[in-house]
Formats: sequence, C-alpha cells, structure tokens
Amino acid sequence: MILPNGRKSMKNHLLSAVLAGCMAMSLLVGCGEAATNSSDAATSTAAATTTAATQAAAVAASTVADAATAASSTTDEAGTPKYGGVLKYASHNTVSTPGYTPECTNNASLIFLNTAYESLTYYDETGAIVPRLATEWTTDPDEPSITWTLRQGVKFADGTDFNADAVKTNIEEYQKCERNETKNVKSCEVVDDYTIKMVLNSWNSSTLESVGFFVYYMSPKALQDVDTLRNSSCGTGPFQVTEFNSGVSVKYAKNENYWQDGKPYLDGVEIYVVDEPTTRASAFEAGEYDMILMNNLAVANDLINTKQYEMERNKSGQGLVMTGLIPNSADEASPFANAKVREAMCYAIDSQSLCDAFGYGMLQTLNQWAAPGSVTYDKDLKAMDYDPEKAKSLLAEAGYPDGFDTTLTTDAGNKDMFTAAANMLAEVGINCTVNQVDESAQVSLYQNGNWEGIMGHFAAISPDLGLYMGRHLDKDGAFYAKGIQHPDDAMQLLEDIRTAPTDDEKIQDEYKMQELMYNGEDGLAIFGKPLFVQFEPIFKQSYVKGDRRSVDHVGTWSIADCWLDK
Amino acid sequence: MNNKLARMIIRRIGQSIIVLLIVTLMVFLLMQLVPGDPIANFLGANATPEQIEHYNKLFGFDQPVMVQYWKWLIGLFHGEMGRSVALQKDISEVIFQRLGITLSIVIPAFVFAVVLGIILGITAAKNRGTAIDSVISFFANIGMSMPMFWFGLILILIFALKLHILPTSGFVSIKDGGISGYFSHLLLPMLVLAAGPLAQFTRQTRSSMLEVIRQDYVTTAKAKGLGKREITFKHQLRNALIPIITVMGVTLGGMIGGTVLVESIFVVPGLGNLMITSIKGRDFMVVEDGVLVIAIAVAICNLIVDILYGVIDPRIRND
Repeated sequence: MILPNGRKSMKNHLLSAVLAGCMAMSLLVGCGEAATNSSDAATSTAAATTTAATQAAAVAASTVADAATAASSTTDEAGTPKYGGVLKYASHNTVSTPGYTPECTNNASLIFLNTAYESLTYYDETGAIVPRLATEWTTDPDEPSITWTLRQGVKFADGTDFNADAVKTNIEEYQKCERNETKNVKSCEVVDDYTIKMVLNSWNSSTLESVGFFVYYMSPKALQDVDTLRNSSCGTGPFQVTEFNSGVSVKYAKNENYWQDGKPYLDGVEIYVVDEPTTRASAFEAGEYDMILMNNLAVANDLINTKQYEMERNKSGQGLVMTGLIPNSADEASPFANAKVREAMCYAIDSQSLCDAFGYGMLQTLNQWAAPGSVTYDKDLKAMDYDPEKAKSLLAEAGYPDGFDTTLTTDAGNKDMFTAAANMLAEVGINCTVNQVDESAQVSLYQNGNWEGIMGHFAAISPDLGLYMGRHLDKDGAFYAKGIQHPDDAMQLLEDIRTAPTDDEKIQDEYKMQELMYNGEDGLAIFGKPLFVQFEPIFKQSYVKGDRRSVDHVGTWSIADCWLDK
Repeated sequence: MNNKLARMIIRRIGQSIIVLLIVTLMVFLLMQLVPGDPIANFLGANATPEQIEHYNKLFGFDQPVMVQYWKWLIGLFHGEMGRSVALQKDISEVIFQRLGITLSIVIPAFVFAVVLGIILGITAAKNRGTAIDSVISFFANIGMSMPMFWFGLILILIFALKLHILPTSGFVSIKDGGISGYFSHLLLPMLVLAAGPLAQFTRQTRSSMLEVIRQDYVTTAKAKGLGKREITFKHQLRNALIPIITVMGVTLGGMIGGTVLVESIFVVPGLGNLMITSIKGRDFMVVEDGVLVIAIAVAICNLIVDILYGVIDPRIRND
C-alpha cells in the first residue's frame, strides 16, 4: 500500500522479505544437500568415477563387517524371537501374480513366492539341496525317475492336505504352462498318499533341482479358480496374500495352518515395489521400511557412508546374475566368428579395474560361469586375465594386425562401465561404437541373436551348468543362443553334464566345461568375458532378525524365522 | 444450451474421434516398430521357446499387426480394452483404477496452482514495479525452470527426512488412510506437480491483468466509485481470463498425461507410472489404452475450455 507521503507501507516490505526469505532458505538447504541426494545419473556417474576407487577401500573394510554380519545371520541371532509386528520390505522387483506360481518365471519374483509358497526342496547356504516339503528322495537314472517322500502333516492355507495327489496336480499345471522345469517329467505316479514317483522322459541331472526348487505348490482346491488365485495365494508357506496391488505392493498375513509349530513369529509381511532407488533409500532412512534391496550401487554407497545401517550381501552365488560381454560368433562374416579374436577381446579387458572404478567395492570379478566358492567354481582355472599384449598378438594371428571396427551395445545401467571396456578394447585395436538401447530392445537383441559385435551378457550363475548355461548354449535356447556358435565338443559336454548319473560326475563335467570355455590357452570364449557378479546389497534396520535374506539362494528368505526385536 | 454451442460441441466431438483414431493407430504401429517383445519381457531370461510361443498364442500376438489392431478397436466398442501381459489382468480394470489415483493428485494440484497462481498474478500486476512484483516474478521464473525431480527430492529431504512431518512416498486413499492419511501422502507430490503450472498461471495472469488494468473501462469503473475488489474480480479479471483459461486447458491435459516423474519419485501407482512401466516392458495393449485415455482427457479439457470461452465472453457466445 502506498502511504500518503509516497512511501510504501511497512507491510509491503515485510511481506516481500518474508516471502523471499522462506523460499531462499529452502533453496539453500536444497542446494547444500542436492549433491548427495540427486539421482541424476551424470552426477552420480561423475562422482562414481572420481571417488569409487578410493571408496572401494573403505567399503572393503566394511566387507569384513559384512561377512561378520552375514555370518551372524546364518545362526540364530542374539535374543529370543519375539512374536508380532509386520515386516516391510521394499525393492524394485515386481511380480505379475503372487498366487498362480507357474506364471512366475524369473528369479525376481521368487521372493514373493517364497513368502506364501514352498517347494519340495530348497538350497542352503552352501548350495546343497535340503528337504522342505519333501523329506527324502531317490533317483534312478536307468528307469529314469525320481521318487519323493513327502512331509506329513502339512496343509495348504485353505485346509487342504498337501499330499502326492496335490503334487501331481501341480506338476501337471506347470506342464500346461510349458514350464521348462517340468518338461522332462513324463508322468507322475502316486505310490501312496505321501510318496510320488516322477517318471522322466530321459535322465537329466538338472531335473531334480528344477522340480525340487522351482515348482511352488498351490492348493488343488484353489486351482479350480485360477483367476482368483492370481490375485491372492493358497500355499503351504508361513504367510498368505491378503492384498495384491499390481506393481505397488503385496501384503501378507500369518498362515494359521502353517506346519512349523510356533512359527511364523511375524503377524504379517508387506513387500513394496519402489522402482526409484533414491526414494527407496530415503524411505528406508525415514524408517518407513524395515529392509530394502538396493540395486543401485551409488545409492547403496551413500547408505553405507551414513554408518547407521547393516548391509548384507549374498555371497553364496545362488540365483545371482553375472554380467559380462559376449561377442556375436554366429555371424560368419564377423571377426568374432574366429576364436582367437574372441580370446583377444577377453585379454584386452581388465575386469578388476572396471569393478574397482564403478563397483564401490560391491562387485566381485569372475573369470568363469560360477561365483567364487560355489560348487562349480574351478579355483585352479587359468583364465583369460588382462594382457593387452597377448590380445594384440592374438589379433595379429587371426589376421587383424590393425584391429577392426565393431559395435558394443549397452543398456543405461551399464553404459559407463561398458564404455570404459570399449576404451580398453580400443587400446588393442578393437574400435567399438557404443550403442545404448533400452532394456526391452536389449532383450530383443539377445532373444533374436542379431546383436552386432559385442553386447552385455547376463546369465544366472547358480551351480548347475547343465540347466543355466544350457539355456544359452542349447541351439534352441531362448536367449543368446542364436547369436553364438555351438561347437560339437561343447554340446557333447553339455549333454554329459545333463546325463551325469551322480553329483560327483556332474561336477567333474562342469569343471571341464569351465575349462573348455574359459581357459587362457585355447578357451572357446563363446560367452566372451565374464566381468562381475553383484551381490545384491540388502539393508535392514538393526531390529530385523532371523530373515536369512542374503544367506541362501538370492530369491529366498527364511521369513518364517524372521522376527522384529522391537 | 443455445444451438450454436450445441453444434460446436458436436463438431468438436466428431473431430476428436478422428484425432483419437489417428493417434491410436500411430501409437500401435510405433510400438510394433520399436524392438522388444512383451512376452519375453514378462517371462524373463529363463523362458523357453515353447513358453514364448504358448503365451504369444494366448495373447494373439502371433496374428498380423493390423488384425491385432482391428480386434482391439472392435473390443473397445464392447467395452473391452484387452489384457495386460505384465499384469495378467483386464486392462480396463487397471487403467481406470490408476487414472483415479492420478486424478486424485492432479486435480488438487491443478486447483491449487490455479487459485494461488491467479492470486499471485493479480498481486504482481497490481504492484507492478514494486518489490512484491519482482519477488513474485522471480520465483515464477524459478518455478518454470526448476527440475521437477530435484524439487521432489528436496521436499522429501526437508519434510520427510529432516523434519519427519510427512511420509517420503506412497499413496493412501481416503478409504484406507482417512482424510489425514490421504492428505499427508498427497501434499508433497501435489506441490511438485503444481510448481510448474503455478508459475505459468502466475505469469499469464500478471501479463493479462497488466493489459486490462490500462483499459478505459477500468478508469471509468474507478471514477464511478466502485470498490477495488469489485473492479478487480468483476471487471479486470473477467476480461483477463480468456488467455488464462487457454493456458489452464493445455496445462490440465498435460498434467494428466505428464505425471510420470512425480509418480516415479513419490511411488504413486498412477497412470503415468503404469504407462512408463508398460512402455519399458513393451506391454502394447496397456500403452495403447493408456494413450487413448490420456488423449480423451486432453480432448475433454480442450472442449471445456472452448465452452468456458463462451460462458465468460458473451461476444464469443453470440458469435
């Protein structure tokens, strides 16, 4: 308001000052904090490149603490389990249906299934198969068949008995959905209520684990209404779905019919889908979640640096996905059709440096298709370690003394690391044009096998090469298969692994496969260069106990044993 | 309703239908051209060729592209929007639920931006050249240029992590969380979504009001002794509203279709979130239906704007 003397009123000045002051304060606070909280990829990447190496040492020190933390979680944690409470867990993984298990085909959905359902067996922290809904089993490679003895006294959530008929119904349901895990089961014979014999089409050493671990049993009664089951659940697990909001959350309540006496301890579990890692971390710090999976290493590093939270990493290797670089060797016109060129590619890349620069100490280098310490990991393998001079001489032997031009296809998440790898390749003469595509386009490329040059190789490295490597190496495999060669010796060895009558023979054949593919002298390098495995950092509040989220297979947890110490 | 207005509405609806058909056909063809397979994305890396073939047949993806489009179009006339590969649900069920959530954020944000934007715009115009005008214009410019993502993270940092007075993320309906639960989860996403439009409305109102303030009829109204409030709202604002309403219409349509970032930051399971997930997963049918719904929303906004022109300005009504 203008006063009679022409000056503006104090009210105007005060109003302007207050308005400006409030807004400026929030901006200043924001600017001060924004660098640590921005999820802008360029900012975090620049930070990553300049600080990751130095921070790796700090994280390496925390790795010792991680190991201790992990070790402590393998045994019952201090204190008597307390009943009550609801565990809230968040990750970026989603599930299309928490209830109709044949349609859950990827590892990301296993955590949902493992809350409400159970399988005949599961993997312990060493990768050994141990009983769950089955108490024992016998195999007959000659017949061929697997006979299961089922656990008695188990009921589904709707009160239906878990028995041999239920197993048969479920196997047939999986077969209707063309699930690979049950493809080899020719028929199921119900011997008695708690004994079932699965007659196989042919002996395959992977069938036991496929059927034992990847089939999750639904109530036959609930299966009569699949549409309802899709949005709910009816299994033998410790919790059952009460609310399913697709892409948002799945909420579970305690299963009163659970077969383990006295368990579960929790009243319920809520699994939230939070795609944005910064938001997930903020919500965790604000106490809105009890446990989170943090797939973004930069954000995980920020959480570690707060020194307030426990971080665990799954080191068992089970269910983890390896990242590597795979050349298209099926294209006969491509230089990569020549094994020496593929070997040269492997020798040119320093995977340790890449992990140090981009991994914040949370990546483990690999030189074969297995996680260190797993049963199929050959610790004596002399692989294609970084040697640029050898790479150049191999290229010269292959007829490319001056190198050649090619393409390296990457997704957004690996762009920085793969660009660094491209620079390493350029130093030996393999000049890559980096081509970034989105995830779906990438899937299409490796499904159709028509990627040009080199692309990212993503493969489950669980200890069963017959099953997991076979999905890529089989001539009719769904992914990568059309873009790689299928040498006779590799195919024969794959067949030997699959038909191995005993576990010991299978493991020996798997070692031979590692040697055939990755040995430094004359490895086929069909799958190119394995780079690293990321051990799925899990952060949890200090009061969360007994979950074993990062101890056994990465898709599982002992949610029946989990309790909240608060 | 007078005949001219009715004819205008019918003509506009007819034009909108043609536009919608062209838009949906273009989107359908574009999604086919983009590399990626919804079944492969859904099944993941462990899929077998038999599984992929099984699901392709189940969803009709083994049929020619134009047959798929035609079947989808015919289905729309029967109220069927198809089935989502990723969600394994009828799309109509999902889309309208998600649209409802998006609207429950967009509408309060829009109303907030309009009301406050007009007030600030009037204030700035009335105090032209003063500190008030400078401050308001300065922050309006910041609002126009401030990255939404950054602003959202700042608000989370201040109000959720430091002050602990609001949740970081999530959406709670009135039914599940009551009024307080709904509003506490609504506030931050609403502020972020409203920031840009608020700045736009402020600037547009200021600009329109400045033109009107100088008009002779305003001088006449003052000379007649009319009160300031009456002059401002009955004479000045009403005459300044036409361009403001144009901006409002465009902005509302944009807000409905452009909530992706806000829904991503604040984990709001709305239509934007659904669209981005479906585009990434190549869930064609969901993208197609989502585009259709958004296009209809934009068309309705434009139609309302046209009608409002007639309401506000009798000269347009009688034209």
